[in-house]
Parts: sequence; structure tokens; C-alpha cells
Amino acid sequence: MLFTSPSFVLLTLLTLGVYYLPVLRRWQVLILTIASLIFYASNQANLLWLLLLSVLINIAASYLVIYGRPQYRRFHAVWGVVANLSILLFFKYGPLVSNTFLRTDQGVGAWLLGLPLPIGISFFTFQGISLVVDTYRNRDVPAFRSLIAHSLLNHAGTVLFFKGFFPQLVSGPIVKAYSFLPQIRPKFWQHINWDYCFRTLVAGYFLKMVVADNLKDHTVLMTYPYFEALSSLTLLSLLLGYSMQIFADFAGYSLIALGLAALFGYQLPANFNFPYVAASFSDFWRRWHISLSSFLREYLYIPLGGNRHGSFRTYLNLLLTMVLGGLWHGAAWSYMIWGLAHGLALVVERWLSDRQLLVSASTTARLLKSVWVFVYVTIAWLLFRLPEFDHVLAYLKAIGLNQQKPHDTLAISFIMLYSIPVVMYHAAYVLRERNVRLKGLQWEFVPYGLMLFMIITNSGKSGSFIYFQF
Amino acid sequence: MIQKTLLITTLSLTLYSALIYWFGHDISRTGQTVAQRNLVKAEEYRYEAAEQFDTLIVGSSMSERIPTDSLASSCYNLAMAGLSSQAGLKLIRESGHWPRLIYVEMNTLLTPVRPNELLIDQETPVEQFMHEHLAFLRQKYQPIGVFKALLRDWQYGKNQVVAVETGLRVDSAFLEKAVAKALLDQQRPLPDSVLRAQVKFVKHELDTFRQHGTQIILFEVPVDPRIQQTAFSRAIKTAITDTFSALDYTLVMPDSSAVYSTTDGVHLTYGACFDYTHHLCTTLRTPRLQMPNGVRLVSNQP
Repeated sequence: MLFTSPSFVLLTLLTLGVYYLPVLRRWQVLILTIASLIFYASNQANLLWLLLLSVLINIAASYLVIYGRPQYRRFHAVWGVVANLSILLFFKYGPLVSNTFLRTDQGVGAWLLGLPLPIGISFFTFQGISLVVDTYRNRDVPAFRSLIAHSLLNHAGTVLFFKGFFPQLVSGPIVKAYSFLPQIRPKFWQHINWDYCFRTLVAGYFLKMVVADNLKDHTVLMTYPYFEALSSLTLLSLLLGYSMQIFADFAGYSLIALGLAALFGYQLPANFNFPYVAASFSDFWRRWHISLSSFLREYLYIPLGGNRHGSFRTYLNLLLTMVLGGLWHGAAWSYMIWGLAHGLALVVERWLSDRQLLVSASTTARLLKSVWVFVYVTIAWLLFRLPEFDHVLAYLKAIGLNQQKPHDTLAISFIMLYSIPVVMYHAAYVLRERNVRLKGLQWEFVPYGLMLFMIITNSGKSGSFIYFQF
Repeated sequence: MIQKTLLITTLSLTLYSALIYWFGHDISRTGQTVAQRNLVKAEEYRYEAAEQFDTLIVGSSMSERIPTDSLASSCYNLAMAGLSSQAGLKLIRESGHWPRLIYVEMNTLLTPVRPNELLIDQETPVEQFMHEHLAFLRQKYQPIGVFKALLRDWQYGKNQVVAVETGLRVDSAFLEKAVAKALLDQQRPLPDSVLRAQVKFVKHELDTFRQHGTQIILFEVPVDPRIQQTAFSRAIKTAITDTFSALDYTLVMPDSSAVYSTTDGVHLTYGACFDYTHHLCTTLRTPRLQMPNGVRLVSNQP
């Protein structure tokens, strides 16, 4: 059941109808929890037990941190985190270990290779870690302690809801316990911000269904060895298209999640902030998949020492954080290389800025830096599209060598056409930032109306969200 | 804001529906990508062409280039890239119309329909009803695709002429890589149990068509000889010929004396495709031809 499927829309509408009935107000959390379990089960019923196991671990660990013996609090937090990570490592990285170190045609190797990848495991595991760690860190803060109910049953209900809330269950945004738990309280129909929900959902569905799903059918040409028959210009266009696609896919999904959560009275953190205008790599990571980068910063980079132990440790921590962040995206070495590439870019950037070598603030310098960051980020996306590193190299080589081959003008035209909304989306942001008064803002219902028209008439073939696999 | 937005959308949909109503018959070949072309084809067959055509071709991209007018005056090519013959047969069966004749590509006949690959077959009755009555919901009438089609027709005219020579260029380095990949993909033959199950399924499917008076012609599209000789390919070919020739089905094999060039090992160049279609027509017009491999061909005038 995808966000774009009619069955999902039906589930949402039914849940919404029941959720705001005044007589059922005290059961709102339960209603959303049931809807969330139906949503997960419709995608992967055979692995619902794993989600519930993960929830059980976090119920126990967070409860014991607050209500267990004080001398064992740290112990409970540690085993909670270790148990969360173990599930993730086993299910997500078991096949990678098998492929790399074991015989895959028999025994343990074959068994590990056959493990299913539970949808959203990376997301709900990180939320579990956030719950345990936040509880431990705030164990003496009365406001936070009050969020961990003394009744184990109530606490279990809260944790199940926190981890299972369907708008963010399978692909985030990764919600931190300290920002979500205080929001759990009765919600009222009249408090819904319809304008915000409508705009967010229309923009999200447009980016996903019109931009990403259409680009997806074009970037399928980036398949080895077929891309070797394409011209350099076509290959560059495809790369650009994939960069736009991955943004539209994930940003669209995140906007839909935000809009849906807002319909039920919950505010999820924004996940994207116009990342392709970033003028530095650190800026890019403050704008791209914000909930992940802030999670990695809070729960990995800073605990590793952050920038508090000199330059060398800072660089090392940055590299380590990005490499692990890369591996979080997928169980393949190419994801690790992708993380390493971003880590190296961050290290070099930091080294340069430590020496005051990146001080120019002119518009041209900023523009050039933005272009450089975009090009680097876009080339790095190849590691997402082509998990075999040899194929990535072959693609780059083909860009250099295939200048004489005929262009696929149709594919190039469509890619450019479907990329325009992403470019305009970023351009509008830049203009707003520069306080340029845009004329005709009172007519903004026209583009929204046309976006809705395009969603109805020009959606691409529905496909999984790219980040579902993570 | 919400009301005004919805008003704009409704207005746009109404205008667009009027456009489709008045100019729909001039709009053709709107698919933007391979996947979408399949969907357009499937939708077009279900909602517009099922009753018009009595002869159909089902298969994969290998059969997509077969010029339909060479085979029959009323022939619809339902071969879809990336999909198999079974996908086309499924669509025809679900349409409820039993054509007079179906040309079935043998190469992909034993490839089952994968879940989600043929989105149109998963439509609920409500969706089918909406697609039937609200044309703007169909893939065929996606505004960007329609714009492309109109632009193309305006630039080249309705009937675009493609020189066969343009399809004769073969990038030999690419061809070798593609063949190597195909050989790698076909390294392991299908297990016997899978093969048997598929043959049984397909036999049942084709028998159903025959019971409804539909004539079936099975044809094999030539591929690169190296791919044709893999254990995988041979096992499939043997399973099909053994089963269906015994049941008096019409089978057409490629001309063993001819050399067919391919662009990537599995797709014929335009020129080779014309040669092959010529062979197909000639063979079918020759009564009771005995093929070298012993497959009996029954005379059938399409």
C-alpha cells in the first residue's frame, strides 16, 4: 500500500472520519495505531512481528530506564540500543555479510542471503534508539519523565504509536522522542490547518507522482550495459534527471508524510530545505534528509566527540559518521563509498574553512560553490543508481567517450521538462530569500490548481519510493 | 485558496475533456517511455481496439517491431517491451473479446507475468469504469504525451517514414557486451519443475483460446546464435515445440539459412525485422511445410 494508491487514500479517509468523532476522542491514539498496523501489514504482513518485537524492546528499555533501579539505568539504555542495532544489523546487513564473506549457495550464507528486508527497518530502528537515548538523557527532567507513563500498558501504547505512526513509519522523517511524545494529546477537527495540509499534500503528490514517477521511467536507461550505447549528452541528462528524481521522490514523500500527520494533528519535522541551492557540503547536509543528518549529529557525531578534540579527531568523526550514514542507506559497499565521498568532501571543506580559504561571500562565488556542490552530489548519486562500482566507473567513462554517439533527444527533452518543477521550486526559494517580491502571489491557487490537474492526468507509473528500500 | 484551487482544476479537466472529445481520434502514439508505451497499448486495446481488431500479436520487445500490416489488414500489435507473451494473453482474456487469430511469440511464452508489471490488470472495477468513461484518466491522454505526439505529427506528419537503413547500424562493441550479459543471465537453465509448470499453464491458456474459436500461431523470433544455443534457450524451445507441435498448433521457426542481425543480441535491427516478417508471411502461406527440425507447420492464411 503506497501513499499514492487508492487503498491508502481510503484507509486515510476512513481513519480520519473515525479519529475525530467526539465519542471516540479518548481512543484517538488507539485508532491511529490500528490504522498504522493495517498499513504496515498491507505492505509486509509477514514481518509485522518484527516491528512489534522492536516496539517491545523499546517499551522495556525506556520503561526500565525511568522506573528500574537507578544503578541499572545506564545498563538498560545500553542493552536497548544494542538490541535495536542488532535487529537492524541482522536483517539489513546479513545479506551483505553473506555476499562478502560466506558461500552464498549453501548453509548460513544462503540463509542470510534469503532474509527479507523489512520495510522501514532503518527508520523505526532509529526512532527506537532515539526513544531509549532521549529517555536516558532526560531521566532526571520532570517534564520528560512525565511522558513515560507509570502504567506499563499506557507506556506500551505510547511507544507502539510513536514507532508505528503510519505517515512516518516506512520512510521517515525520523522523529525524535522528545519532539513527538509531548504532542500526544487529544486532537480536535477545528484545529486542523487545512490550508497547510492541502498545500503540503498537493506539492508532495505532485513531486512524487508527476515529477519522480515520470523521471523514473526515463532514468531506467541508466542500466548496465545499455547506457554504454548512449551519447555523452544523453548520459549527462540522465544523471541530472536521476538527481532531480531522487529529490522529488523523497521530498515528495516527506511532504506527503508531513501533510498526513498534520491532518491528524501531529507536526513532523521538515525533512528538506531546498538542498540543491546549498553552497557548501555542510549546508547541503543541513538541507537534505534533515531528520537523518540531525539524528546522526545528535546520536553519533557528538557522542563520538564531535569537534571537541582537535582537528584530526573532528575529521575522523566526520568521516566515520558519513560512512555509517552511507551504510545506513543500504547494505552494499557502494553506499559506504557514497558516504565516504560525502565525508571526504566535508573534511576537505572543513580543512579549507579552518584556514580561512573559503571566505569569499560574493554572489558569483556563492553561485559557483552551489554549482560545484550540486555537480559533486549529483555524480555521487550514481552510486545509488548503480550499486556495482564497476558500472559507476563504466558510466563515467562512457560520458567521456561517447561524444560521437547519436543523442536520444526525446529522453533528453522529457528529462528537462520534468526537471523544470524542481528547478522552479528551488528558484522560488532563492527569490524569497533575497526578498524579491514575486508578483501575482494572490494568484497562487492557479499553479496549485494546475498541479492538481497534472496529478490527476499526468502521473507516472506508480512505483515504490526510493527510500522504501532503506 | 482550497476552493479556488479546486475550481481551477475542475475547469482544466473540463476543457481537457472537451479537447480529447473533439480531437481524440487525431492523437496517437503518446507513450513517453517504454513502460508507458506498454500501458498505453494495454489501455488502448482494452478501451478502444478490442472490438476493432481480429488479429493480434503478443510478445515482448522482440516482436514490437514486426510491421503489423504485413500480417493482416486488421492486426493490433500487443507485444510489450519488457513483458512476455503471457502478459498479452492475459489482457486479451480479461477483455472478454476472443479474436480470430493470435500470433504468439515463443521466446517469452514461458515467462510468467510478474506481480505489478502489468498495472492495468490490477484495476478495480471502479477504476476500470472511470478509465472507460473519463478518458483524461488514461495514460494515452497524459498532457505531456499528447503534447509530444502533436508536436511530432506537426513536425513529421502523421505517417513518419523511417528508412530501414537507419536501423542497420550496429555498435559491435556494445553488441558484444550485451550478448555477454545475456549469456550471464541465462547461465542456469530453468529447473524442470518450473518449466513443466509453465508449459502446463500456457497450454491451458492457449487451449482456452482455441476453445473459443481463436486460431493460434506460435512463432520464434531469431536472436543472436550464441544466445539461441544456451541451455536456457534450448530447454524452453524444446519444451514448447514438444508440447505444441504434438497438439497440432502452428509453429513458425526462423529461417535457419538466414543471418539476422541484432542490435543487442535479442532485438532485431529494423532491416532484419523486415526480413523475418517476410519469412513469417511466406512460411504461413506455404501449405504443410516440413521444417528441418521436424516441426510440422499447418497451412494458415491469416
